[in-house]
Amino acid sequence: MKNKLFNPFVQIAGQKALLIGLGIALLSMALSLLFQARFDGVIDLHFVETITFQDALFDQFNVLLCVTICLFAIAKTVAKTNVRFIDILGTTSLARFPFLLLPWFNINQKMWVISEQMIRSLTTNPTSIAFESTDIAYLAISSLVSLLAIVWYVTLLYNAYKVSTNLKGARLVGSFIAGILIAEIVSKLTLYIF
Amino acid sequence: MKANKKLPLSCPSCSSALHVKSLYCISCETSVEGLYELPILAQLTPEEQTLILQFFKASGSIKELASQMNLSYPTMRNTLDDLIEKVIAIEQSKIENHEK
Repeated sequence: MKNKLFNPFVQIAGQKALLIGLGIALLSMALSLLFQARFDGVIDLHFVETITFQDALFDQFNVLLCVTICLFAIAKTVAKTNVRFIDILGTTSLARFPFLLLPWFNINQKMWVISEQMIRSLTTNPTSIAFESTDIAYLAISSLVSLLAIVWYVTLLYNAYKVSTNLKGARLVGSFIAGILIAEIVSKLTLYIF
Repeated sequence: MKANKKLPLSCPSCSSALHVKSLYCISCETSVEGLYELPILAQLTPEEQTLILQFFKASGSIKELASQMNLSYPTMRNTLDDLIEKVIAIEQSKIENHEK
């Protein structure tokens, strides 16, 4: 069970993983539009006032391609064995599954309203910030779930990279960290440019 | 009940690779004494030998072997790559032993 949650790639990779991954991307896009959530970076999710169809579609393409291309390029330079693009693309798209849990927190724009109130009171009167206890509880639960989802996602991404490249030890850890950092920067740059 | 004995590959005392010193025919009870090196395949674990046989029976298709074992293609390829590395290491240590 643990293996299926954190490393399903032992059994699912390549085209099969890509098909499921594309389904996850489509579902993420639908949730983005439904709950005004932007997946604006490799490990990012922000709630906004409004979101267009083009933005939701671009976010999915941007994240998937940035992660895949950066991890593939770095793996090609450090791996001794043959690394297939389809394996990285399929497994990393499947790894985005935990992000499906997060947009639900913005039901009825709840998270966006709380964060807007927070920013407003911090900018107008930072010395006496008053929040509803229900809002604090909501924020605490959503932060905890978000943190767990991000840890789950990074673990899945790491295992996806490991299975797709057969790298081990320091080479695996070093190239994975470098790949993810580069992918995050590139995804932010493409968002800024386009 | 007959015990399922495993062929020992390394010396329990110094961990060096074991060689064959004696062979015995169970039909006519003839014994052959000498010093023979174990073939490379015999130096692999029973699981690794089974995997190689399965790979052979799948006509060398990683895709076919992966589907038979319910594993993904890269997982199967990684297992075979690790096995190839192990075989190369055994071959190299054999060459080094001959050179000594």
